[in-house]
Amino acid sequence: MAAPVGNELFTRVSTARASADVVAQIHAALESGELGPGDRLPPERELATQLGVSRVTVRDALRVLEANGLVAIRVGAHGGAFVTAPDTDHVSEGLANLLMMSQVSPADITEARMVFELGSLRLVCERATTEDLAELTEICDRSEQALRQGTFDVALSAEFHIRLAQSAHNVAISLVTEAFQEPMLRSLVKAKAIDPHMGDPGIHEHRRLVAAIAERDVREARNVMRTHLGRTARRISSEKPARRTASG
Amino acid sequence: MSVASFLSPVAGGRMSGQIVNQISDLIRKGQLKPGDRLPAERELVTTFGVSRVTVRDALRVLEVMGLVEIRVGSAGGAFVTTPTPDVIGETLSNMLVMRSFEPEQIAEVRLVIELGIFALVIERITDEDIADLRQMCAESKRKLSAGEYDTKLSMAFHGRLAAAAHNPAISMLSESFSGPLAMGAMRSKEVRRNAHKKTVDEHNEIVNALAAGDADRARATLIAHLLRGRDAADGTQRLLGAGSRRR
Repeated sequence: MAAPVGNELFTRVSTARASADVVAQIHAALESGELGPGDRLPPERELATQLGVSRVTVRDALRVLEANGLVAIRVGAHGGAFVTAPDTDHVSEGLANLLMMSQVSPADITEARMVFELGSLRLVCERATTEDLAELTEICDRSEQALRQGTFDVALSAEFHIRLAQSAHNVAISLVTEAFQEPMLRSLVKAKAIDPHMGDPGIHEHRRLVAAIAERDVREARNVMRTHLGRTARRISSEKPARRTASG
Repeated sequence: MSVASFLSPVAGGRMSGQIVNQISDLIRKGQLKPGDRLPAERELVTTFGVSRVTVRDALRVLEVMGLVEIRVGSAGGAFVTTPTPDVIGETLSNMLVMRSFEPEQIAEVRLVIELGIFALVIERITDEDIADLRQMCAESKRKLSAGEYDTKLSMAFHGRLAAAAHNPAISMLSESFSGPLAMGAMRSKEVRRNAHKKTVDEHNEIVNALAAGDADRARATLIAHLLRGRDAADGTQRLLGAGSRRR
């Protein structure tokens, strides 16, 4: 089905439908394991012939797969469309976009983050390895040094929280925690709530968290985390948002 | 202020990918907002110094990412739009297919979310929330007797319950993670009619406890419900350790 010039409406509809069909076929091959990460898809022309569709359709299907993170296009002599597993950044960026672009208040984002990080802390206490604890301590050391040199940056705090989440040894938990970092940072910047001394109590609390996790003391870890995140929350909005819908 | 002034020509490598990055960066930074119209295709062609095909490729990728909506017709064009949790859910499903992680890991995230927000739900649930949840329970019972119950109804119930926390960020998170697990559950051999009946009964019980203001019973039922049929060993069990009970 060749794309008629000057009649975009009809071309789009039919291309989209045929392309969805191509995408579905490739999905099926991925699910059955016939296609896997690293496999190279046949060239556009060949795919078009095999599937009995136009090259425009194949191209569109490849864009959809690319946007879904299932196919990576490499250019050059050894280029082509290669099957990949979507990486976790793909999801955490998507979630961050979702939070930043929707009409969600900074207070709501902070609360959601608090619920999530407090909840996963139990898993961290359970599963953190010696290596995790050593790396968390190393981030604390670096943060303290940066603070002394006046080069402390909230990125160091974000690094700590992400590394902490990784100690739950569940990539899905890490990616959610990562997703909250950018919207949080944006809110802090917006509220002009970043000041040179903000790292001080924060780093102290990070150390106490590491100590509590080393002791597998969930209760203490949660208490420290609640105080810690609570302070950030207050910086972003000085008061709890009024909730019209709440009954009591 | 023209959006085009923020954009720069692309060269070498994967050009449509670079265009996608430039535009999505502007969206994330808020320089482009939902509802804004992107410059016309031919303008983008000039700005980026690429072919029309490359611009179209980039727009299509942005469309699938849920960041841009293509409208046709005289008032048409590419408009910035607000992404929905479905897009995330789809990516998570894809990642399950590609074994980037296991269904148990998604289930664990849902446990963290649902248990974590329950204190907020108890605090904030309204009569309207309860009425909606009751209606969903009634609908589920009907479908169950008709043999038409499916996991989507259960997911909808949990989504509505999460909405009773009255925090849109929490709802988005919860919705993003409900789809992929539904898919996993539908494949699981354990889902039989009996299991559905138990699900519906437990949902009903949770709503009754919430309506009666009995937080302890509501929480205990939710925990039993979330853990049923799952390997309650290690982490999941610890997730519910003694310290999690708040009074």
